[in-house]
Amino acid sequence: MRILTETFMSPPGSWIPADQAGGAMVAVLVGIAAMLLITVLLVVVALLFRYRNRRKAVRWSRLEARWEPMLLEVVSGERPAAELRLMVGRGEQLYFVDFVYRYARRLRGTELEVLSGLVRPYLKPIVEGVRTGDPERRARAVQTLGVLDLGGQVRTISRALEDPSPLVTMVAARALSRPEQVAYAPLVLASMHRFESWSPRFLSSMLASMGRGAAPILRSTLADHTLPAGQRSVAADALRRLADPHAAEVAVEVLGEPIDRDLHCAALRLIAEVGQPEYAARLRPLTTAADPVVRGQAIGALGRLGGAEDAESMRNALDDPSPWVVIQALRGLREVGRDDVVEEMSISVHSRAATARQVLAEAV
Amino acid sequence: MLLLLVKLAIVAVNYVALLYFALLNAAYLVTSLFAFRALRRYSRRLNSLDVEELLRKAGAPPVTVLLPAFNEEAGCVASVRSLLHLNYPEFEVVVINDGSTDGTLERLRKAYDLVPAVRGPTADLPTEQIRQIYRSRHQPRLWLIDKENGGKSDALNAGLNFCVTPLFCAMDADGVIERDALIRLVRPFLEDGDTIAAGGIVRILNGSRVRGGEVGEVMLPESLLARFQVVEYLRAFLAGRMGWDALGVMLIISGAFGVFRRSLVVEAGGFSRDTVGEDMELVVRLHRLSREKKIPYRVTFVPDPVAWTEAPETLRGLGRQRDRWQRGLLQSLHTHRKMLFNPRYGRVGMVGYPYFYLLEGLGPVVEIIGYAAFIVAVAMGWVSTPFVIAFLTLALVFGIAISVASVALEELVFRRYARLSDFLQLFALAVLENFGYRQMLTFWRFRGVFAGRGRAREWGVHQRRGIDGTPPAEPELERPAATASR
Repeated sequence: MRILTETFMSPPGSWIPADQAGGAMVAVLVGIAAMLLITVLLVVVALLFRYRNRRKAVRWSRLEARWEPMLLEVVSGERPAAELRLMVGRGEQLYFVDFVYRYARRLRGTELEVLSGLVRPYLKPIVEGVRTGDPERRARAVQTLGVLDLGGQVRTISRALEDPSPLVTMVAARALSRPEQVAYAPLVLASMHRFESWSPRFLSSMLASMGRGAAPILRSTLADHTLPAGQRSVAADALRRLADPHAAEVAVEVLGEPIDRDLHCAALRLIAEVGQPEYAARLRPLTTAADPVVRGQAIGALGRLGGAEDAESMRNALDDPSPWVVIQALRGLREVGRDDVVEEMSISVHSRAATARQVLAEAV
Repeated sequence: MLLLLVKLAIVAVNYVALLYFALLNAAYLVTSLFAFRALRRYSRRLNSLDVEELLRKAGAPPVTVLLPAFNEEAGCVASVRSLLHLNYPEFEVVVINDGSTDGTLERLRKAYDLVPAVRGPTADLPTEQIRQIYRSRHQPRLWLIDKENGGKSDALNAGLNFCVTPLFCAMDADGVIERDALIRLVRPFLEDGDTIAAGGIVRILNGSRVRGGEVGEVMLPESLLARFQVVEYLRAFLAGRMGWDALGVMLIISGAFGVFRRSLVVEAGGFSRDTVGEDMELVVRLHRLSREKKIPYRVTFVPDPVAWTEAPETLRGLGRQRDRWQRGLLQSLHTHRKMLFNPRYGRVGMVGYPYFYLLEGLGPVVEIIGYAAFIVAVAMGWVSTPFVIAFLTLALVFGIAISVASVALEELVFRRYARLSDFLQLFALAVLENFGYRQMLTFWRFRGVFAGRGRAREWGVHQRRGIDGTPPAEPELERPAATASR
């Protein structure tokens, strides 16, 4: 106890034995010196970064000024590509590829083909880069090839679908999601399990980029009970974006399965987009589903496909606790020609009267 | 006996202060190291996913930008203009005029031809009364909710009540966000469906050139006080938040620029009206709710989307701001103190919460009392003066190193300050700020700790120039401190 008290009562630092006090002070001083050194080093490193970046920027400006005028002439066909290649020095080839990439990603058709032909001789290091380096570099390589030489490098890019990094796989999948590469749609879809963390909206837009040629395989994906519901939902949304009329039948079969919110909502949205009135009967039971999100989507779809006989169930939905269901019901009533109900509600004291007025103000 | 007790207390405070400095600097070191690694990786990743391509493919979800405004006549028109020019496929802007007593409403009505409109609510968070909703005739994406004054949280909740998009972006009305900022901030929501909130970086606008609602040349402010804040913000965001994000314990998303998942925020009850730190309190509450409900989630920081904000240029304005921030911090943390050292809340409860509560929240008290105790102890000969001086010098030099590291990180990835003179000045400021500026901040934060709970419904307003440099038409009245967030 006495030792503890004496130790605690001693000023900080003074509890160090006298023969070691000097060492402790030296340690602190060394710490100070080390931090000062680190600080100076950081300043030096930052200045070196600055210098390096400046030099790169100057070099880049010089190269751009040299290439840009001629690039436009090559794209327009006024000059042959070989003339521009003569202006690409040794050690400048990757800069050149990067430079052309910035233009190529905005172009399509013949102009893009011209640019692809222009850089094709310089792509070898980038092709090698698909297999080496960290994930970000590999992804960048895949992205560059996907823009500049998709046709010529499609096998390299498709192999990147098996890359251990999800980022690389995603970039490869996006690169292959083009109408001209619809043959690779099965591979892209087979890699979808790697993208479970990605936004379904993002994924469905990617799949829809493959165009209507991908619709058959997307329908198969939607119909496949063995696949995760998330993948099937994404396929359904992609089919909706493509407005595939044959997908409605598949989506209606999905409605008969045990309810999975995302899958059923995606199927309902698809049916609303491409379905026929005869599917209305399959929608009606879902208008009273326990899940308000499913209810809302079902009512929305019924509004598009149903008829006057559905006005009553939509009217009942006006008292739904979920505002989203009420909005869908109001829109549905307008779709089936019952504006009078909506108008009546808009001037009533109903808690959702403002919503009714909002829907009335919308274009039908 | 009394003297013995006093000595005991003074020595104890000295030990606590030393421990505090050691822990704080260790935390800074860890977050800085993680930040460095994360920033390098992030900058390479930026090149891998083409932002323009994301925009073209229109996979980005619709977003509502909520802009709460109180007495913002100086800059409201320009702020809205900059928002309407955002490079984003599908979004709308909802300005919430929180009972402004100046010409905010009138200026916006004239500038954007706002007319009364109807919009049905999608949630029923309690707010002050809505007077009228407006919509722009020539900018159909622009809405305005005019309501009775209730404070920033109240205004945000009013906006949330009329939000129809899956995501919303909360912003400050006195700032400018860059054209690509929203798509960059929404990117985490595309890459990871579990993302519930993402915060961007806030930078100091003072001194930079703004034209047509866009930041042109980035320059250091003229005022020394604002310049110190530039370094401070770099440290707080690049070294601080980037590091916390890498560690998975993001507890703060700046109210000046953050994107949230609407449904979860509404389920959580919206922004709290009981605190001046509504931004942090919401994020902490989202952590808590998600962990308690065992929902997989992610709160993240994205360093490249920028919101530019005006910093206070007077000591009074800055003092009030920091006082308010400290109050907000402690209010938020005290509300959810159940999370402190609670393993149920994972790393957030065991690492992030203790850091913010004990080191950031109560740290100013330890520092101020520590300085006072040190002075007394030196005067009374109760301390080993050389040792303590050496240790404090070490802490000071460490602080300088962290600030310098933040400037170096800025050059590594972003390189916003093109002028060499500005860049060199940042280093000088990183050193100088440790001799007076940071001590002033500590004092204001100390004051904030004891300022009490009150005045949660006020707005934080300092003298504004407007984002295009035009001063307001008439002198602004002093306003009590409230809610401009970090």
